[in-house]
Amino acid sequence: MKWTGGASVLTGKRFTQSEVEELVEVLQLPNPIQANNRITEESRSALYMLLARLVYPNRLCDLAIKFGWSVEWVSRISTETQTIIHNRWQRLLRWDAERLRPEQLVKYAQAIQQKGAPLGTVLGLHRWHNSRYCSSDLSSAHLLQWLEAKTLSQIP
Amino acid sequence: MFGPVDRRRNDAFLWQESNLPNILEQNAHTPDGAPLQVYGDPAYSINSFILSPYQGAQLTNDQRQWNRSMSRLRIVAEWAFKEIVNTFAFLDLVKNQKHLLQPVGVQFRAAVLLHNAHVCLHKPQVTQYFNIENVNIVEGLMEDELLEAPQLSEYFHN
Repeated sequence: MKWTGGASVLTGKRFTQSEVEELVEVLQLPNPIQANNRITEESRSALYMLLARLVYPNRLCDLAIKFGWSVEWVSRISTETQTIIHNRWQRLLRWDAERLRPEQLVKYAQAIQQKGAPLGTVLGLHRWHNSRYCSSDLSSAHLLQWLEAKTLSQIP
Repeated sequence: MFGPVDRRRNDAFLWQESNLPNILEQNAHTPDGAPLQVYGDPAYSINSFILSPYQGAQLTNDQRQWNRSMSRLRIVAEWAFKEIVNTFAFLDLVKNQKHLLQPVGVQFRAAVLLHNAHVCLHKPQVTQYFNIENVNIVEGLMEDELLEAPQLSEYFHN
């Protein structure tokens, strides 16, 4: 199956069509993507599906109507695509000593000082974030906690 | 980024579990070895690599001013999470995050990676906040170079 609709509609205006094409390349998604029940989908359509699922709290049945796919197809392909992205690139969410060299950290600290910090040695800021989830039967809500340390390099 | 940790846990436990103290000890220093710090929650004590706000009912004016100044900067860390859930609102709806039925941790991290890709493609809020016109932030380096997000291919492949 191949999606031929508008890119910005599907991705909630987050990504244009050319940006999605570029993402498929840099993420090195396999083509086709094959879910564990042997459903296969072209990588570009699979990424559109994942983005459409994430940008708004759509129900699976709504996405199924929008794409003309079955609910199972939507679920399996988007889950498989996010797993591939996670497994291949999760290392980018760790401290990158190559990028965050001491010379660079000093520059961040100086920029933060010029923005109003009383000290010139604060290289970044950290923050706990609570995200909520529910049990699978929707009967109770719980917390997941995330820690993020952030420099001015933009990237969480 | 570290997580997720299931249920609310003691801050000190989470801090140690994240391994951030060791990472900072190894990496957060100037070229001549002086320590640099991250600034964060008041729950932590201060040491060579972490700073937190002054606490207590009887703070001096200087201490209050310090807290105010740092609080204005710390909002950047708040924006980061806010931007992630704004970009991918699916993550913010509790009924969509079904524990043991969906890989909620994998989903969140994959969304953060896609959000980072979005940051590489579009000018983010943090840059605008630190982009002070007519101020050369760091001598010898244009502020654009300092604050600019990497190119998409550079982020994923360098």
